[in-house]
Amino acid sequence: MAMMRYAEALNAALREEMQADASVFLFGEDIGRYGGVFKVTKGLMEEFGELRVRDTPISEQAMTAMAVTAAMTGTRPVLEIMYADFVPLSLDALINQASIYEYIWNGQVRMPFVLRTQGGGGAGAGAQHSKSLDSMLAHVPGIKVVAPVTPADAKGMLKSAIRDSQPVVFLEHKLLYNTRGEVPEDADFTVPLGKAATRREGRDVSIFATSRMVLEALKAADALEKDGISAEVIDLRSLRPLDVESIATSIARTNHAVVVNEGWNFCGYAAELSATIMDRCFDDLDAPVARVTLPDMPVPYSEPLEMAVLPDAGKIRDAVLRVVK
Amino acid sequence: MDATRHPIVIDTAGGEYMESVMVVDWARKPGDPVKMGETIVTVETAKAATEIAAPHDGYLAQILHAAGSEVPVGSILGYVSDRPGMAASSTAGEVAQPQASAAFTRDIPAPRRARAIASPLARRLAAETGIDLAQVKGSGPNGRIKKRDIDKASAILPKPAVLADALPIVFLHGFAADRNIWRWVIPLLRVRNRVITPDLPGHGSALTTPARSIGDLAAAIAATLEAEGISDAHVVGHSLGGATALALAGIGALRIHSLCLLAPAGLGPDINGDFLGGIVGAQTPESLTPWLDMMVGDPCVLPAGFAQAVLWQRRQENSAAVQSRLAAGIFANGRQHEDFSRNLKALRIPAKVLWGRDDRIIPMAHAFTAPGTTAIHLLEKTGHVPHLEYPDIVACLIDELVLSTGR
Repeated sequence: MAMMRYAEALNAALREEMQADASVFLFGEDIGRYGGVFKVTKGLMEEFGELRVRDTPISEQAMTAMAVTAAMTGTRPVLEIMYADFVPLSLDALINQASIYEYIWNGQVRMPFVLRTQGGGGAGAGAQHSKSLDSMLAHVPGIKVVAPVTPADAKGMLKSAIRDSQPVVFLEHKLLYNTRGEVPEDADFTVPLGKAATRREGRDVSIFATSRMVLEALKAADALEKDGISAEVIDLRSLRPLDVESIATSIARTNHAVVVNEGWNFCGYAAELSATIMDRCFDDLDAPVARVTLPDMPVPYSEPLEMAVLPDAGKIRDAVLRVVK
Repeated sequence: MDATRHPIVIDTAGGEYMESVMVVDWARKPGDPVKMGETIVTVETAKAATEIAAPHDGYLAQILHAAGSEVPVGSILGYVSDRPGMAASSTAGEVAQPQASAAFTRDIPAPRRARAIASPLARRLAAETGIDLAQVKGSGPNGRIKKRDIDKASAILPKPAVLADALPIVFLHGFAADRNIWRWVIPLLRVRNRVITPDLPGHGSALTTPARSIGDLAAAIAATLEAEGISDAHVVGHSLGGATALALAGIGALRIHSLCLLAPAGLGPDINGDFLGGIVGAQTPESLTPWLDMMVGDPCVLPAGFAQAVLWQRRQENSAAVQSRLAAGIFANGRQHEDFSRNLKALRIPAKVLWGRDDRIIPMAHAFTAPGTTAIHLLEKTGHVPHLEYPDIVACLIDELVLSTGR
């Protein structure tokens, strides 16, 4: 175990996988000489050379199409899209090609590539650099979407994503890169995709959160303890495939559910969670499921306005109090 | 000084038909004087218009549901006040509660009400534990019943008893009633045995089935049960239904495992002939009410609107002529002509006879013809219909009887 920042954990995962498998290579904007805007790829060009760590021009369309094609030829590209806000530029390659090729070619083609990107608000980055487009990506069958929140998961899940034979969208969060945590140094350490993690056990309500919202949910759970409410916090980690069993197991015990996602409310990932819970756990529910999300509006640049609209511990606590009432 | 306010209510007593009613027309304006028994408001169900009579002399104090509104059965439609000038002091917009509590001396489970608001979990737990949601008060938003309310209720309400090899319980109603008379008792039973509530010939859904004697009634019930494939059962019978149960025991087609008789006919010669004539012959709430009052120990236990509902259903079914003929055959000249006390003596099963000490229809003394092996329960302040007057006690005694057989 070593204490590491989230960005360092990702860096370690990339290094270990590149050392272990010569077909793993990286490309993206400013990932080589500059080491990445968030320093995730720092030092890798020096270690693995310009062929395996490539700086690309600014064209997400071309980059993603390249990743799809490279994966088809048997390599394992890891593509960095600097902001999740730019992922829509790559959707044709992602949705019209990557997600369906294995199916339409009857399994003769595999798509082992990873699209790393980072989203979310809270950094004063404005409406065009703060979006969470989780549901837009998780909507598509044939693509896995994961969003680790701890440095250990960042490392373990990125390694699993690189080894996976399906396209994996790997969602990071700009406010997580500097968070610290214990990370196993073992090169064999991986975290399976598709499994949720219970971050805190509780009796009265289950809070299901994604990405940075897990940290807000944990803060809310601390506050709720003073309100006399015991909240369970589940880190979903994998948005697709979703660990429905863990969700159902938790609700069977607490009978109350609050779902938290930083994306928009309407047609959002929280809506999918609510519907899944309704389908699967209806007779275990003692109250309607509550959603805590970004309101249906752009993320404001102004800091007070941004804080006012982003979901946070206070809003999660309010939702829990409403649900257990 | 406060004037007494009397709620104006429609309730079910006979029909399964009514869940909600439409207020059609108020015959009086707030402030107008009214006389007890005169039509004060007309409501319409899915099937027919019903006139509701003023519950008391006085003044129409308040209209809670104007013409054109749809209201659940049991809602308070308005109030009659003892004294004039009460309209202004009434609480405008007061939410009408199912069941006019002022009209009861104690809680009787609401016969029907709009669908309870309950969480899915509460609904599931209630179904699993046999708790009637209508009897649970919700503490959640909008009065939603939540798990904690079910937990609380299950600590208070009787625990259900599930028997491994449970036999059905057959309930036989009395003269001029029908199967619906059991709706107060059945939800209070702890035993979860299947219940069968047939209508006697000449009553309810079996109105056109001919019968001239208690033997005919028993034969018809035996045939109904046989058609259902029922060879073994517990039997509960009230009044004429009690005599029918005893006659059924005599036929021997049904193996009866326990017998509970509520103020049964068939154990002696006496019966109140005036009552029988009055209850069948009455055509207005005013003429029916005194007979209904005679039926019970304390008139307060009758749900408000009971008389209207009985008459309403009687008009629907046109049952008066059929039941008059039946009474003429069985109870001519105010006497019971068929005696089944020998059948009771011949039975070797757990049996109870329940009688109200204030029964003015069939004298309590008939209970003492029962053999020594039959338990006799004489209920205080109770008239001829203990299952309507004290459904909780009756349910408890039926539970005891059924549980004692283990089936």
